[in-house]
Amino acid sequence: MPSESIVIIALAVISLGLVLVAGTVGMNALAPKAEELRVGIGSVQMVRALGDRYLLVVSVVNLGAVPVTVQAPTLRGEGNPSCSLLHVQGSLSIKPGERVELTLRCSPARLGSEYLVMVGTDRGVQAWAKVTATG
Amino acid sequence: MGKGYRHGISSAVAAVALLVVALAIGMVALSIFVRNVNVAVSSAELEAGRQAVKTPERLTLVYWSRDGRAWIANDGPEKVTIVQVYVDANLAWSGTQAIPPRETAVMSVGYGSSLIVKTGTGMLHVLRREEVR
Repeated sequence: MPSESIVIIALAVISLGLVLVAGTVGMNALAPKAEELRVGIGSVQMVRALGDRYLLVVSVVNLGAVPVTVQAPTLRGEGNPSCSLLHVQGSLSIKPGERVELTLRCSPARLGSEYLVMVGTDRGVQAWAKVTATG
Repeated sequence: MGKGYRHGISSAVAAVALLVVALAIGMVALSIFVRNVNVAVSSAELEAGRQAVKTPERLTLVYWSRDGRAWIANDGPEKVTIVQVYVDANLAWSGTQAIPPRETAVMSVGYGSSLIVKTGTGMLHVLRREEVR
């Protein structure tokens, strides 16, 4: 009968709606836990020191709710510069809300080029920022 | 039950179904919107905090002697604290050297072709750089 078909379709639609509601509620309930791991780059500066050698200062902030250990940043861009860590201000293991400032020497880099700074952590989360090599 | 009565029930069920679906889509959309707003606000706060700590710093290298002493003057309006010194892209000194406005500090850092200092605000200042050939 047509009315029974309509009721079945309506029930199917209601089920779909309930699944959407349950999914949304579940996502909102679980999202805070997923966001407990989050790092960001507070500031970054790249300055030419000598020849094609540049000093890179990266400030990494723990925006999550659990401590993370920051790994050495990597640089991507023209010349594929490699970096060596010169100084760490603070601890590489940063608590929530804290920051660590890393100074690196990177070469070869080119004045005016834009580079992508990527910072990884022991927990798998990453942060990245763009920086321009200045004189 | 009459045909008209059944039709009335199915219409009501269909209306409820449409309402539930509309509600669900609305919740999903609102959830995505709120999440995006939170991300934008936290990014803006971070940037605002970063800008807030920026102060006008003006440092000048007055003299750099061959024995490795550097005379560094603070020409800015605020006290500046030098936390690291790099000579030829190598860390030459780290610590805390405060320089009040219009005063000069003498620091033993070694000698080279390039002198860069980092201040307490995290800013790098190139004080001298001789081009290498």
